[in-house]
Amino acid sequence: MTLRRTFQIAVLVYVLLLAGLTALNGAFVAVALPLVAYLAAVALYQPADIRLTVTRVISKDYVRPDAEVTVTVTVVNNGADLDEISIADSVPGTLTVDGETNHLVTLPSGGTHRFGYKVKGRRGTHTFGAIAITANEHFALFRRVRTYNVAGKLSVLPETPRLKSVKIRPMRTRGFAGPIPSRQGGSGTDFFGIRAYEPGDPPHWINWRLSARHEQEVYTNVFEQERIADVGLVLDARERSSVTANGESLFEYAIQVTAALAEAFLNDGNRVGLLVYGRGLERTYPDLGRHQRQRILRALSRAQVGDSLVFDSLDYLPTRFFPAKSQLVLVSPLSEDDPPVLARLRAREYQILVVSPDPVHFEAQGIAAGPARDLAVRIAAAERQLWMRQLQRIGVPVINWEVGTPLDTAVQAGIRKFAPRPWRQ
Amino acid sequence: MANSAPDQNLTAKATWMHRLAVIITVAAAISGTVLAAAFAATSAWAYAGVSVCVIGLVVLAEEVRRFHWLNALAFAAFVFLAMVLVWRAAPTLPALVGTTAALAAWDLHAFRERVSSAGKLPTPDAHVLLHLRRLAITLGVGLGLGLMGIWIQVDVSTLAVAGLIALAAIGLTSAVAHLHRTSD
Repeated sequence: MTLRRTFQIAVLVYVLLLAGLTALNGAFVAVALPLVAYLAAVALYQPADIRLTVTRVISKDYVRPDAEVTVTVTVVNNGADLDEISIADSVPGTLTVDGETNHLVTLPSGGTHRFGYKVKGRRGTHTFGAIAITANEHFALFRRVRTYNVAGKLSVLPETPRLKSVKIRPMRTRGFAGPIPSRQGGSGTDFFGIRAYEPGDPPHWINWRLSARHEQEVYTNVFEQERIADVGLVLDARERSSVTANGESLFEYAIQVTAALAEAFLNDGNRVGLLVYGRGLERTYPDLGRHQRQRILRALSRAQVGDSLVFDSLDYLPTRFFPAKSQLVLVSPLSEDDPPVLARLRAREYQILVVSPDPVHFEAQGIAAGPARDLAVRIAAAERQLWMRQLQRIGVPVINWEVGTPLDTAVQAGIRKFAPRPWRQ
Repeated sequence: MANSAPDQNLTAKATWMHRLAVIITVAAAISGTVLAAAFAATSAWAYAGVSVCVIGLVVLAEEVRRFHWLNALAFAAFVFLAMVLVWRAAPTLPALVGTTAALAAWDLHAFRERVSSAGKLPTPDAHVLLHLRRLAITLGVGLGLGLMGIWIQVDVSTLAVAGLIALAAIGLTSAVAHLHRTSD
């Protein structure tokens, strides 16, 4: 627009001068003088080179979904006076903005302009673009544009539904006290066995009933030690997991499940690692505690579905990432070729639990009701049941979660249903 | 209470947008009326009618955003009508006033467009008044120079006139080229 306006006024001046030259009439030149004065003012007031310091401060780097974050942009003029500058901050389209990101101000030399606006968004990593500054004199025929690449990133963590303690029973535990029965005798709460009394055993451990049947011997109860374990969470981020209906994605629910499981296992003191398996492999190495929870949530905030020729099947799960005989929890809607892979993992003595958001009923919500839809849902559900039964037969419990129901209810019911009998010596 | 400052700001901006629309319409009306009166004085009724119609273009450009480009057409039309007036050997003053007022309308229309699409204008009063002041000074200087050009008659040879005009054209070309080169 600037060039067009400059061109327009210049052409009009030329035409007037040409008319004056043709008619040898100075009146044409006189009529052109206001336009010439206008152009002269533009040349006189043209802005000098822009020398600004531009910063953007985002109040938080990591937030929960739909939490408001304040973004503050500060522009300091280190050069000459600027008649008119337009400051335009580019906000990612995935964020909702409350406030103005585009300001038009006059900035004298040494002056500062600061403004703020609020943003919020859904799960993901949102990267802010550059800040564009356009400086012009008041008639806007002359313009200088500068782009400031000010880094800015906002990560919105996934929602984490509340989940009570999830009872697992891997083959191998670690050496620290925790909630998982370790298949070894020692101090604990569950009865494990009997042994002969040894001096030093607490009196309340003596099994009086058994000891009463033996005149010469006293017996002591032995309890099952409870330890922590290594838990590997595997989030299926293959393209086939991306089932959508009514504008929602099943993958988002899978992420919520993973976040909830991570929190539950970490709260129990277990060592938890995360593997996002899809477009590539994104690993969060196993660790304990609050910081590990943050690391896992941040990894989940970045997770996206994707396709890869290599990682199309679960065959390439890097088992070295998971300690031997540890607990694996796979969060996946499941597909036809998954059960054989899980069977092989089970054969390697991994304890596997599958938490599967139900894709059949999820996708059915987005289809208009009718006999064809009902038949398709029944067939797909039957096929899914078949895969789940195959897995359950080889000792891989599958918790089927319909996303409209509370997650905790589904998980606890599934855990109770598949709870193994306590191991006896 | 917390939102009263931004609300006041929005109100001030909206008020200025309305005022600018009025000033633009008045400037176009002055231009059109002066030119129409000058044409009427020389019995060129068709041109007088066209001058009045061009005012309508400006009003339409202000009222309907889709027709904002009509303002540029109206400006060119006013300048063309001023040229016709001078060509018909009418007094130069109406042409000068008409051109100046048309330039004011054209500039203020672009300013209004820029401000309305800007998002936020933190200091609307200061910003708009500064522009109006600068425009008034520039147009005042231009009008003054034009009046001097009308009233001060200097006898110069034909060749000198042609040379001066050519020089002016070359100077203008250089200035516009420089502006275009250094502008982004």
